Amino acid sequence: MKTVLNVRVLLYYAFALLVAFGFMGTLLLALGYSPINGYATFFKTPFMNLRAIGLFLVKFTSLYLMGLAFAVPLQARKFNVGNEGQFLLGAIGAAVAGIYFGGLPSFVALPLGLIMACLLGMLWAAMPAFMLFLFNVNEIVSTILFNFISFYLVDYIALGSLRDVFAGHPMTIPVSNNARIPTIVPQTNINAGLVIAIIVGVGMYIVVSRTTYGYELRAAGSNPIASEKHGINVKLLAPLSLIMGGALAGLAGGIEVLGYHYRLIEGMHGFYSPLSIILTLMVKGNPLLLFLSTFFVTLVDVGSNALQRTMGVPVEISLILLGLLMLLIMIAEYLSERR
Amino acid sequence: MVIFLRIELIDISKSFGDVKALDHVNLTINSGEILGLLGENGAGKSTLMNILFGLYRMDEGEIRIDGRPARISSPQDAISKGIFMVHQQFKLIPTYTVLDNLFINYVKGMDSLKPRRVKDEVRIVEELMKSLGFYLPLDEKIGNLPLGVQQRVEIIKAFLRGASIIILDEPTTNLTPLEVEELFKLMRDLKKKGIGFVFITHKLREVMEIADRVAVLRKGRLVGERRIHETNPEELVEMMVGQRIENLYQFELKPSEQRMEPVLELRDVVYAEKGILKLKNISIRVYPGEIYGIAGIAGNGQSELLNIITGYLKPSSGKIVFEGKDITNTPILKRIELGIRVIYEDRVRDGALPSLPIFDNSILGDHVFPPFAKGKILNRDEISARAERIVRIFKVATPSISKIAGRLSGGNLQKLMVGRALDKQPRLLVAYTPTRGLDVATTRFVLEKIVEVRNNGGAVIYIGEDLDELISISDRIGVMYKGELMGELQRKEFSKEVIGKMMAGYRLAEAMSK
Repeated sequence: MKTVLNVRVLLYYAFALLVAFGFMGTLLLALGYSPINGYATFFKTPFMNLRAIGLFLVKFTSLYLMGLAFAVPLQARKFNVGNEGQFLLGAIGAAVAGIYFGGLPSFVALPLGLIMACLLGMLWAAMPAFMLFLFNVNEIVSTILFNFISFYLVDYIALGSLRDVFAGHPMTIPVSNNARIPTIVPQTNINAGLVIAIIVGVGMYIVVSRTTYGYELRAAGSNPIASEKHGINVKLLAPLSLIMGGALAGLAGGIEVLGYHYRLIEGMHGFYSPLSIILTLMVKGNPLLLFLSTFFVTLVDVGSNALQRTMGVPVEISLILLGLLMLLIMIAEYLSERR
Repeated sequence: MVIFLRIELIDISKSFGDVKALDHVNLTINSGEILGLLGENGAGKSTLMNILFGLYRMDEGEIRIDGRPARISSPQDAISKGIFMVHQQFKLIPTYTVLDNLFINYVKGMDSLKPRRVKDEVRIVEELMKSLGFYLPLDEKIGNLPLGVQQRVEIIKAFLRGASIIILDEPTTNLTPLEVEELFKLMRDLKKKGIGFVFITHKLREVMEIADRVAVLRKGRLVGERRIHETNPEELVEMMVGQRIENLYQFELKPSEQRMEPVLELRDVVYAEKGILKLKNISIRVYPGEIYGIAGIAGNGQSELLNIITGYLKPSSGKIVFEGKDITNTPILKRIELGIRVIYEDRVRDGALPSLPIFDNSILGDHVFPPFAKGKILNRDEISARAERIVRIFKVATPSISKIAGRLSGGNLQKLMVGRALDKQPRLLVAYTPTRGLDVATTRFVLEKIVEVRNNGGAVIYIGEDLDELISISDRIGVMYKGELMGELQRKEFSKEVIGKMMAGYRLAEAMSK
């Protein structure tokens, strides 16, 4: 029972990567930058010192969990584009818990913060999930709308009684030391959140591919009518998968607050949600391959930021690159499936 | 009006990778004649016609039209020469009306910019309908129409666009018997107007009924050609399969033991949907070691009956008793655990998980039970073992059990579905036309397996639309009409005539007396 990955398929993917990066060089050249310097900056900056690696891994952690939050419901063919809002709710939960219960000892305060993050993320997904269950409301529409609400909730908290009045940007006061996720490499941002993400990712892989729950999710996604006729409760399963996605996105928000920012900051979700969708679709939601695609997307994101800082190349190049790559991967898939 | 065409296919060969799909095939097709193109699944019938229609390119060979070499490299080429093909998947636009679909692409080039003359179009079609004596709802959207009517639209569309030859690829697969009758009538009427048909099929009876001439392909070779009145079904089967299949419809039904407890008993089952009665007071008993056949024209309550037995639908009133226990409110999975297995009517809609591999497909419905699951954890070795077993015993042609089920051919997918239902000896098997779309040899094989379930003491409910099949394997036959059971016949009383009358709405006594 091997996954269907043969040499030819890998070659197609390698070719897609090559073409995408070749195109990037050409683009740089056309815009009047040196492609050699461009490549060097792109690939070296993210790893030039421990600090850079730390920033890279923080982004990797959040993107991976966000991808997972999209990938799990995707098994049941549900599109959790609301992982953005769930991420923010998770961040709110972690920040509020980290501030109010920061007086408790670390082994209570930290888990409490993460649990709050998961719970609020779940809650945020649960409302669209209920609407799906009761009225068959399309989850793409409802979760997106919940994203908008979450932006203002963040404002409300970050500009409210927990506001850090000395900061120029809306953000809360920091969480207590006891609630913070310990760093695992001193002097960097590399924190135990990465370990949590890896454990959760492997766990999700097992759930999806080795448990009856995961089987039913995949079956429901593949053919809901046949699944229902063979005793699978599709109506309940799809909303449940969304709620699970909510917990994962919430966890991402919680880890980013408790492991990196140590506070809730307006706008901290950045482009996580669209990027997470791209990197999940690249690997069709396989939680293990997701590590690879997340690594790659993080690299493109961090690398193109570096290009902008050091050479003045517009950061949008990352979107061009990712868009092109997505297209090429689709072509590669088509070619490898053709007989 | 119709231009006479004589098409000669000369020495056509075509390979897909290492597989030789066609090996020097010679065939002549004429307007005004119905040519049956017969062969098992994978014999090369569709490939040959796809070459003629310009969808595939041949490796070797030549096509001549009226004696002159012709180049057909796309469907447009074929259509411009008067050759049309109606595929199993219709090329109609579901959200457009019948009239729109009939006249899409009717005009070419700059003319297509001119406004349509709807009145003229309607007049043309209405005259045609009058002269052929049939009716199409011109203003109805295609998507709202039954498949039989959609197919007629495709054929009329070809006729309107100047077809001389129309190729029909397995046109009867998804039709009810009545729709098949109507199709045949239309084919005969158009034949009188000079149209030629190529009728791709593996159904002997239909070829015998409609074709003038028949060509048989086996494994990419033309085995032979016969005028229809010079041949007989036995000879054609032998040509198709390559060996004599003795008594295609004869099975060894071991004498059943004394009647004991029924395995399944339906007591006065009523089912209504949106206020419409679908099942009216159905009472059936099925005993171990028995095949209970259910005859009837599709849509007379058979689906509902099947879904009531599986637990997918709940009866409005009445009782379902399984081995002495009331299971009226027992959920689907629990019934599967009790040993109720199902082969659904529509493998694509009801049976398969198309985007998942064969091994995942092989346990749908069993996925929560040991040995495939231990608690909530799947046992991948056991799952693989079952998939391998099904692939081996039911001869599913696949390179591996990791292959995505949606990429199996229809026949192979059906074998997988049958294999899944029969891997463990069922206490009760409910099968709805399990041989649909299967070729002769595979049909025989599947029926043998079902008889085996019976001979091993299982009870079988076999819902069929093919009377030959039903009569050959059933111990008793019940006939359904408009949700009602018109009566039951014992094996010794089986008669196609009586069953046919009951299918049309006569009760047993009436059907017997007339």
